[in-house]
Amino acid sequence: MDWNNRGRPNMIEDWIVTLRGGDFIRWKDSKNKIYSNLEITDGGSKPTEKECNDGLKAMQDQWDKDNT
Amino acid sequence: MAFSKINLASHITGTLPIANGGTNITSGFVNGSTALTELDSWRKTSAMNATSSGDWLTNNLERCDTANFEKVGTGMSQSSGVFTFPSTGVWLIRFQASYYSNSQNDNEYGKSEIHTTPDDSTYTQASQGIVNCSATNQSCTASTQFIFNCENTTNYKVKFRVRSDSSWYVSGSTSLNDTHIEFMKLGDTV
Repeated sequence: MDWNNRGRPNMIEDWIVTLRGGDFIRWKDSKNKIYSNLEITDGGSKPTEKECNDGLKAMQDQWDKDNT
Repeated sequence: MAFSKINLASHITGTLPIANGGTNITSGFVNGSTALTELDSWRKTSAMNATSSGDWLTNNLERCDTANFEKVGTGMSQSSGVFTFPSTGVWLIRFQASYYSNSQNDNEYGKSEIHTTPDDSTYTQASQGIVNCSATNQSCTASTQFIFNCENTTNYKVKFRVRSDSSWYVSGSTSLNDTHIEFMKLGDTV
């Protein structure tokens, strides 16, 4: 998501950072933010791909509701 | 009375920086190194969540690779957010973080902090920039800078922290400088 322009959430990172505080995610390839490139660095558990997709979908639905 | 020519050397002792009829200065430069020898730019490539206790930038840091950016000199290196200088000297460090408020409270803030160490162990907060967002879903930035006298490259290091009292998001980008850091070597160690 383009946070500064309040854009529509468009990647799983947008949802993951809402889970808790800190800089706890690492991308193996920051230019390709797909689930298989995701690492969790604070010792917490890695959410499942479904949880990520569902979380992103919920954010998108909320954004659509607020912006249409 | 009009002069058609002035003799630069007339009644002057010492060496003139420009000769009669010349166009190029030959002396009078600032002593020491004057050229820009080190310039670098790094950025956060992913978002994070800044809490009231403060959170270090540790992951997903990359050197700016936007078109037409080129570092000057060796450039900085970093590991888990701890930056090491390529050479001793006086450095200007600038840090700007972009925040996205997710709650509304007039007293809420986002804070960008620069922390330095002379011993690779104990970090001291050197500077901070604070911003207040008084509405939810609002973007704002806090920047700060510090002039750091790096006396050796082994133990003098710097790292960066963000803080907010209501878990604001800190944004990042792989295509442009959003939350980002700049380093410029100003001169030799004093």
